[in-house]
Amino acid sequence: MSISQKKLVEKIAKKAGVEASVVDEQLKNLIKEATSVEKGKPVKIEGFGTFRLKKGRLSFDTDEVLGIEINYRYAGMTPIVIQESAADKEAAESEKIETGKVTSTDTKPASDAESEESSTEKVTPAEESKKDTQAEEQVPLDDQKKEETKSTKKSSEETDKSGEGSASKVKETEKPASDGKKKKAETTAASTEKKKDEPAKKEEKTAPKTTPDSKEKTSVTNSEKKEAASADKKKKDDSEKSSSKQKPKGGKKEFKKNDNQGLIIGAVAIAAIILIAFIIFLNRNNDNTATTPSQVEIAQTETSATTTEPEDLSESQPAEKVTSSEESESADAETASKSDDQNEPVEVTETKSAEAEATTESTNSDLPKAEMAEPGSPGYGLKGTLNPNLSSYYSIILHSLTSEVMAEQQAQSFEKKGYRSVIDRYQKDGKSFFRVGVGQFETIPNAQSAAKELPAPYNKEHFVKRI
Amino acid sequence: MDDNIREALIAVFREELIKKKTIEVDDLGTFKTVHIKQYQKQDPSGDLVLMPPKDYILFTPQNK
Repeated sequence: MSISQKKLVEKIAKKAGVEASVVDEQLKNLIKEATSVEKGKPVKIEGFGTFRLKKGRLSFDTDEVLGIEINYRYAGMTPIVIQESAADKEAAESEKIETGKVTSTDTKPASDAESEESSTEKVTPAEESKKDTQAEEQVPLDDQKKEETKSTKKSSEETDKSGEGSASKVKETEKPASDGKKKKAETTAASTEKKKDEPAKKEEKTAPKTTPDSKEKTSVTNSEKKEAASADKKKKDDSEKSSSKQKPKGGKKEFKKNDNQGLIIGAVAIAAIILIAFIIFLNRNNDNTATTPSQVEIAQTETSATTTEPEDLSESQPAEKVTSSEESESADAETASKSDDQNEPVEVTETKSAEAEATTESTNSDLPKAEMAEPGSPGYGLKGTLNPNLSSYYSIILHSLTSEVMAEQQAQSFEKKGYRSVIDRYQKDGKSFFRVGVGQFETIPNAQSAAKELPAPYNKEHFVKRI
Repeated sequence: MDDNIREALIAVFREELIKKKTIEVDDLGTFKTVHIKQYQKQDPSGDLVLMPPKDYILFTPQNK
């Protein structure tokens, strides 16, 4: 769709309330002025833009205000950091690894070595996801190692208590492929070491007294002692087995308890979610009938406002959200990331303000009573009575309602507090919406500065719109 | 140019460009709105940043 110069002149003439010939003449003068621009001498049209020569070619730089007004759909959207730089991540990971070291040094030196290796590796953004998965994979392995070390520790402790017999088992597990000759040498060494009362770990190595080779070489008295020792061993093994069987049972009980707790927490969470959903549903119904339209409705209306007839558009002119909280901005950007430019963040914040209306109604009495008349712009201002002589101005929109009665009530409440209240009507899909705004401002910056003076949540949840 | 006409011209341009219409001005050129979708970029600090969508006015001068 394009508009020819003829149509453009007609529209301007209609808008300005002058004859088309006058507009045509002035437009031609403007074109002459713009095309006759010389290098280094740009031609600026206030509120529209600047024509200048760039590389011998005429170029146009849009005026800042016009640029903002054209981008009113995306007002409040700011760049969002979705991934921090690699240096920051490295720092975070190194911190994590350090904390991991502290916990792991006591139990498993082998896994420490692995963690040190991983800590020395450089992290690149592309490898981060892989590393995460690797780290996840390492965790169970480490856990297994922990369990192994724990079991070996336990067994070693037991061997300390039980003596030689149980130590043989430990050795068998540690060195299953050891030769008989080695065992013999060890047994002889062990017999001498026993007498010296060495530490328990060394005694573990002296275990294979019960092996067949050792039996052949030892005396009858020794064999009797061994038999007695083996009997003790069996008893202790039985006790160990029984204890080992009991331990997992206890663990299962704990798991069961944990499961029960998890179930209870889950049930409570589900109940809370259902409650919240129900409350939101009720609120929405109330809002639709009384105070505010739903978010979808508002978004639809805003899109329609841009696609309706020019007469309607003139009423629903581009709006700019002047200031907004970071949360709302991020939320806006997130909605934008999901649906690009279909959703309109301005309206999202608008509904937020409308929803917050009920809760902050009591705080509205705290509205500042100071007059917000702008210097050098008579007829404009935040407070006072509405100036009907102003044909076009900016207003701070605070509510968007489906009910005209509610909108009027809201406007009256603002009037009582001394504000110039404005109701901006627009239609979408046969539905009427009523925006309640405060103040009449000549420029966007004036409206911005005035909006900052509004009480919460209005100072953050609003947008500026041309009326 | 009178202020009244200038303001009307700006208002008409704004309305039409918001509606994604192209405005052809004889002997000057065409004005149209170009939409830039949201995109990701790496800022100087190395952070990956999601930039919001944006519209801008593209002016194409008329060839003489």
